[in-house]
Amino acid sequence: MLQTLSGPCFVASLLIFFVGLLGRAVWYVRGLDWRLERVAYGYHKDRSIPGAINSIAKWLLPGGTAGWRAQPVAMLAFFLLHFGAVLIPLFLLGHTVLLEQTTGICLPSLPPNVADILCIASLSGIALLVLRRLFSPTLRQLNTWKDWFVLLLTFLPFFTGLMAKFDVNAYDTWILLHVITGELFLVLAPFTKLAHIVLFFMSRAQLGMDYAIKRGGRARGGSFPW
Amino acid sequence: MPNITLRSACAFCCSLLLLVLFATSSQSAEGDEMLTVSFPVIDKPSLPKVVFNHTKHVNYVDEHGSDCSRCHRVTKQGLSTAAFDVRLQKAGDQVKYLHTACTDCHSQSGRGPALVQCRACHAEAASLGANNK
Repeated sequence: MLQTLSGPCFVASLLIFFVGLLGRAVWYVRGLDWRLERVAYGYHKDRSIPGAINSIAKWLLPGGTAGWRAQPVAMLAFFLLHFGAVLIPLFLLGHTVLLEQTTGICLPSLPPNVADILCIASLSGIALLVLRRLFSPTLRQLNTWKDWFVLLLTFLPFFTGLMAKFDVNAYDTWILLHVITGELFLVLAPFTKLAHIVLFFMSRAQLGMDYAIKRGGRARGGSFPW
Repeated sequence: MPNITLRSACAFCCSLLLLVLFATSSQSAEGDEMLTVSFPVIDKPSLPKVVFNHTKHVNYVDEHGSDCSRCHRVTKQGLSTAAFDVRLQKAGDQVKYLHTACTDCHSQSGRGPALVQCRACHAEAASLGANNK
């Protein structure tokens, strides 16, 4: 079963992930209004491109924007989770070996103890986000089962991967669960809020462009990180 | 709304508990010849050395009408202890070669660990750091 899951099923879930997220990005651009948005962004490239890059870059830096600085706990939880969430899937030793064996692409790999620390940091980030969802009055008004589901979907690949390493007696079971939950994450990402993997860049770019062109953008020099 | 939050949080915790309970211990082989792969020599191994059950492999090739040459090459010095043609590969390609050689056979036979089960093979206890020469 593991041969099939880690072979054809893995390739299929990667395809769904990439094609699905590409579809979400295209859908996002198509959803923009021609007259209010697309023409303005294309016409004022001198301000729209720096505006987009600036907004994306500053939101990717801890404390890079007033929005981050205003909510330090959320920022901590977010960055704890996302450092691992970006680095581990791509650069964990086992993952890079799989990538090289299946595609020939050879990426550098993280030292195993660094990967462990990143993974534990990510799990701590998820725990903080769970607590925030439970106790923040604003989020309590907004919570739906979908938010919990997305957190669970993110938690499981980290947790099963870490357990596979540390609970060696049940290694085969944890790896099987890791492959299943990892693929579930990939398959469902385009159809859930996990689509922010690509939509973060789309919406930040759009807001960056919008505020650099309109709403007094020219006076601010065209790159204020809203 | 708080009830929904509470129920969702409970569902979250229950699914975690089920997951932990689902994980059970795996089997071990007793009395079989367990060998450690000693070639290629890795200076700073990131994972423990590869250990495999030689008896199981011998039994498998016997049952399937093959012999030692399924894995070992005959050289002037006799039967090579290294697996397949690993000694003929460039130094940088040997690990990749063995990953492919081992897991391709496992995949075709539908038996043994898959490539994703790193630690099913990389399992020699305390080999990290101790045998770095």
